[in-house]
Amino acid sequence: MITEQMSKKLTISSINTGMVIDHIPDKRSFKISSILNLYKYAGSVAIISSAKSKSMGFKDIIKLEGKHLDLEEIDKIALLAPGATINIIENSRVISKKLLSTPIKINGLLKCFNPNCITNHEIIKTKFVTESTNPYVIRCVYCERTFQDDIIRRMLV
Amino acid sequence: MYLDYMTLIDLQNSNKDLISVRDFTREKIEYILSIVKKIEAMPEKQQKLIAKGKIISSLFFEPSTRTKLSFESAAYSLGCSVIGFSGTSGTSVKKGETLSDTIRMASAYSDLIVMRHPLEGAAKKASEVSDVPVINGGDGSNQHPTQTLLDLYTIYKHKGTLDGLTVTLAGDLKYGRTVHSLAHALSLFNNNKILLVSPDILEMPDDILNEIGGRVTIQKTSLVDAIKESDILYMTRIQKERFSDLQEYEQVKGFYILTKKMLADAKSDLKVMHPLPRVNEIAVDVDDTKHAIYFEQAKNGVPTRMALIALLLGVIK
Ligand SMILES: [Zn+2]
Repeated sequence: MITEQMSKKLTISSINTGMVIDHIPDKRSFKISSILNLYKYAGSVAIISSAKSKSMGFKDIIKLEGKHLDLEEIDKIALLAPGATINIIENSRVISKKLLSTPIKINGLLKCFNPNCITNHEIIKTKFVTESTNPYVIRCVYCERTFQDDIIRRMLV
Repeated sequence: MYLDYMTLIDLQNSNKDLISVRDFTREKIEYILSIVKKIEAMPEKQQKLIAKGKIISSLFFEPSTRTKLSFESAAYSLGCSVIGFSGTSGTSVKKGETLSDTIRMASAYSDLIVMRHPLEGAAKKASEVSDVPVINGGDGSNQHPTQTLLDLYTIYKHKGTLDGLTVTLAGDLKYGRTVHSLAHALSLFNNNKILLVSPDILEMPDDILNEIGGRVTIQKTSLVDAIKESDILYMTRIQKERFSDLQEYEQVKGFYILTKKMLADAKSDLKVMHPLPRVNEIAVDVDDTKHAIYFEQAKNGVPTRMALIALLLGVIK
């Protein structure tokens, strides 16, 4: 078991340049690393799971040495872990901190769960819009079906 | 927290086309209905001049005789000519042409596209690749907005308003896109009450109730009770195939069949509607009562579609 105190040391203090994704819901870092293909990443990656957190009980943290995620990757994280924070580290210091909220428009990141949706029959970039944040509900712009929380995470491609 | 409805419309809306009830606002519906009324009042000769010489593509990727006849009759009545296909056998679609390519081609040969497609979202996709307006004549189980507008026009014609009405939706409220869209449209007006009458397994889905619930009063009830207080009774068919247990179907079907006798307790100006075709959910003895307006409702499809074609072609204001 790693305490929040220890995990902070493990992540932020040990990075020179890169990103720390903090406040990820417990155990969700594994899904994030597979969606982002972090196993292919050449730099060092630290995944800390089930760290104790005052606000969350348990949380996960991902540390990426030397890597800056692009906007699409950040949107994917936001979908998997709304409420997570992204810290940008330069010269061992946090130079910016961003709270992730679910994107209003989600383009190309998800596969529609409706088998009868046109996007599953022709090569079409999917588009979804966020309808509600709590519960988290999105709607497919094409077939107009709505999808909630757990299903959305299974729709990530 | 639900996002502001207008924000959603802004995100999804395109004014070039008619794709979904979700693109509607009260103002837009009222404007469209005023044009239907205007066209209906015109002599036939004048109607024929409205869109004279325009070409309409009628692309029925899935056959639907009623909808096709209604659209094509509307197009001819406006003075348009019609090209297209019904069913995909013998077409390039059958040879594997993508929807986008078929639409691009049709958009090059015509001034407006009417389409029906078995897949949900097909009309939306078509509107993105087409240079000319697209009217959705049904996309899978998703939307059929011209049906909703002809329903609204029929109600408006008989009630003189779309506010303050008690409307009962009866039958298959789970799979019936017609009733979903009508409920949605009614929620854009003020003080409407929607009564829902259906077997448990065919209840209106929660996501639709959540979407419109804040804007309209919704209550579940029985057909007998609903008849007493309704201004509009909108009947739909309950399909036997929806039931996994046929005994259950046999047990419930009688509760959702309307007969003349049941209308004895109705308001004198209750109007009964149905998207047709009807099977047995409305007994034939209802047909010649003052309450039945479902045949007239189907007829209203032509002036409604004329108005929509003319508006999207930009030939009427
Ligand atoms: Zn879809």
